[in-house]
Amino acid sequence: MENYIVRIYRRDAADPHKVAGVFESVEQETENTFTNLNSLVSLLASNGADGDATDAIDTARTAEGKP
Amino acid sequence: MGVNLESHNLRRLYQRQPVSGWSRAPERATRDHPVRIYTLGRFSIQLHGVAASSKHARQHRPTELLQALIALGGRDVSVEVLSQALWPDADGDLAKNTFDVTLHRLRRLFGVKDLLLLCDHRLTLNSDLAWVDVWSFERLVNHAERLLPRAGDPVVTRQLARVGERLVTLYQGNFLEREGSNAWSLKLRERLRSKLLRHLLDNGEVWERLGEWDPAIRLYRKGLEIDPLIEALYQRLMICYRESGQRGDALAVFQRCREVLARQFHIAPSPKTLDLYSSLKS
Repeated sequence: MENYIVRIYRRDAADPHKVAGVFESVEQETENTFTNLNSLVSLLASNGADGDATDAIDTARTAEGKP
Repeated sequence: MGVNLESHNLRRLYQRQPVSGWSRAPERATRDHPVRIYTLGRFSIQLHGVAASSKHARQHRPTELLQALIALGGRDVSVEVLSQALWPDADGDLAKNTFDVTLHRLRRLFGVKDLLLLCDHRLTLNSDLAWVDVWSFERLVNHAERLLPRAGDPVVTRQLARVGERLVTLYQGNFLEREGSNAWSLKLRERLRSKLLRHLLDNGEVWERLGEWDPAIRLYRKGLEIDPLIEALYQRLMICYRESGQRGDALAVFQRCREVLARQFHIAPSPKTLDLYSSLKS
């Protein structure tokens, strides 16, 4: 079983896709931020796979359109 | 094994205390507990007023069983649930043997009769003999929630102030935060953290309504120590500083909010925060 904590700090009432928060992996004790649902899903997918945390951050940033 | 004795003791305990919730008045008679257990921010044990020796710290498995018991409610916790949480890879017999041995070691470690009661495959930490900071915290925060609707009454307001101070003193950090991250500790950790943050915001608003800005400011600042990403706390602080004539401090709070949001999320403050900022300039 995998355990994560997702904290939502900002929601856009007009656009439910826009959410800002922090994603914590309990077992790996890592913490990443997200600013939309795509980047949250990417973090979740990457943490569940065997890739390391760096891949997860890269994937999330790409989903957000950041370099 | 003393199952019958334990069943008798547990029945006696329940006769004195209803099963639903902790019935003691907030903070009543904590001094007479032979065992005091601190789990908020750090894990430490006092036996008869004296800090437990390092032998307790070295007993990893018994200590972990005690921590999991507290995390899972402290009373009537199923042995199966505890075993599954602590030794998920152990099968039925192995899990049972491990539990029995670990409980025996835990009891021997404390040497306090009836401290841990086992009845019908359920384990209870006897609240007549053990004071636990999280139990005290939850009683107090629930008490504060009941006081909040009557906060206009000066007597209630003073009570609320005392309860708020005590809560902040009790909350030395997140539940078992130095013990690493265990799945079984998360639910209680998050619930307590969330309850404190909610209390700080609600209690702060009471002081704001009374025009008492300093206590409100202290509460909001404590909230930001716990979680510096909560924008509502920055907003409340800005209002308190503005209304108490401390415009420079209000501007500093806005700057900090803007920096934190930019650094963490690459986002700007919300329209509500920007409106507050505008009100500072006018």
